Amino acid sequence: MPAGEGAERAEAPVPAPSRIAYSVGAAGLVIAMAADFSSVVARHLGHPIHGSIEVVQAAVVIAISAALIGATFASAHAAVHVITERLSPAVRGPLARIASLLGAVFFAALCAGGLWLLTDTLPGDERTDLLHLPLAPFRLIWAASTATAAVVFAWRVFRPVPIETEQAV
Amino acid sequence: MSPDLIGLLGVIALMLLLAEGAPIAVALGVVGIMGLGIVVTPEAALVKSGMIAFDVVSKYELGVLPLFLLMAHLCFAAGASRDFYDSAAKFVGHKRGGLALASIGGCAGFGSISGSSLATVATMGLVALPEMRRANYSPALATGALAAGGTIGSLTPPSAALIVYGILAEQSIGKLFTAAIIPAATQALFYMGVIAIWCAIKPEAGPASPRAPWADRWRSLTRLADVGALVLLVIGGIAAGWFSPTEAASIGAVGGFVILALRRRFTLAGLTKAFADTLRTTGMIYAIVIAAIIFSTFISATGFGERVSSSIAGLSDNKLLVIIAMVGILLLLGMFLDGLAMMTLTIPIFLPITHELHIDAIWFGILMVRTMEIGFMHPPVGMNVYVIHNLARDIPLMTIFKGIVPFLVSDLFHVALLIAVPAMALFLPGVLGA
Repeated sequence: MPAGEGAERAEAPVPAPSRIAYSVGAAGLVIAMAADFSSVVARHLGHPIHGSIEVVQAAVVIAISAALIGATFASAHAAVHVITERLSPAVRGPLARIASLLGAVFFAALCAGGLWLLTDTLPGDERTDLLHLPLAPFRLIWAASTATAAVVFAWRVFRPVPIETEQAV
Repeated sequence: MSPDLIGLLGVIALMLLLAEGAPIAVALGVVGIMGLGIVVTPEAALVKSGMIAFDVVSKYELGVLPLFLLMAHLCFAAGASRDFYDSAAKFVGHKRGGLALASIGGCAGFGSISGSSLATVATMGLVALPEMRRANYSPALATGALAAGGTIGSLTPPSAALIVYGILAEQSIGKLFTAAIIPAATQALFYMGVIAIWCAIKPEAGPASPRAPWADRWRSLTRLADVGALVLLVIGGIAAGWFSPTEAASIGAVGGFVILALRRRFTLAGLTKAFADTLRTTGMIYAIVIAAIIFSTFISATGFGERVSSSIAGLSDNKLLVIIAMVGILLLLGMFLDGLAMMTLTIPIFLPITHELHIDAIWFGILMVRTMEIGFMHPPVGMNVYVIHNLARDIPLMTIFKGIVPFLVSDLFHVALLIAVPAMALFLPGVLGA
């Protein structure tokens, strides 16, 4: 859910991987927006564009993959801190490391599952119905995104982020 | 170990991980994958999780979420945050409690672009709280109205909570948006009623401000025209069936760019921030949705969800009592869990009950989000209260909690009305065929 102008946190320098992720994700969003918008306008003018949905799907995969990396680098994954914020820093530290370790396990599992499917579907040359876009590169992009998230979480097992900078809900 | 017991242990493990401070997505995902690994096989758990994740990120209908978020952040970048409040304050600020009424109007208007309770209360709090304090409003009324008003953002379409419900419950997002219009509007009216009664009993709680000249009022409406027209086009277009919710989100995002250009705020810094904020929030929500579906698959595989559903459904033959029991559970969980966690935990259990008792899933989605909103206000989680407290540290938390009590009472009446009159939610989708 969007953080409005009033919910802004102090602006910290954005690390290079996040900047790249945001640029790629922004491109994905703009392509998805443009494809869908053109499709609506063309349909209402009586000239439907075939395959625009497939372009949107492909662009959204790129945007979401980048979004996951951006959210992970920014520690923007929502967590419930009702109990942990009442604990001493000495207890919070180890708990944060456990949470990071679990995060690494979860995203590594998603990556493993994604790569498993990729290797299974590769011989069949999986493609979309109308535009015949190959799906393998998109599966690979998503797997790379989950792998990056797993690495970032694993890194935080050793260098935890201060709890105040995480997104509490 | 029986599958039922594994399911129960999974739910307990999830609660422990959430309490431990693990991100919601991580807690749901780890329990889901490990649970599936035990119930089925580790290989099947990995493949199924990989399949769910790619299905979610490549599903066309889910593109609605990042595009609506982009629309919202572009409108923020255009400086549209305070326009709704400013306009409402110019029209009703001279009445007793007028600025509090305007803050409710501002929250409803801002909620229609932000779709989030926390964003609404944080932004409206920054705009309206200083003005109400300058006008000598009672701190309890000022903060209570804002904490309550912020919750309207969760229900007002395009609501992120409704999108997530639509995804998890496999319901039409367009119908959910249309169904939310009357409940969100009546919720705002209920809050306005509370303010009117409060100020009738204690006139000194909300003194009248100087009357704004009509020229100023019209000017404020003109300033609101672009964003208002965009919101009307997007929500009206979905309701009228001109375009699907995803297409509406694209139109909204294009409209956001146009407004940015018209207001001469089309700067690289503004765009960068809008995209970065959109992507961060998108990544967070998608991770939760993927993990929630994995967790839900695990709960279904154990049969635990079905067992709990049957137990709740078997409490009574009376559909009303079962609904009240579910609302009671949601209110109870809302004391400890945030809205998204609560929704992802209860949907796999409650949805089968709605099917068994022939309860409309669209209506139930509105009821669930409406009940979830209450959790934003009441202790100990009550995030809106803490957001307001952060904006005005000198107002004690207890004063804010006292201030929300009348609004909480009106919420309970509103939920009761929604249960008693399902047409509040189902009338518009039925008429418009959304």
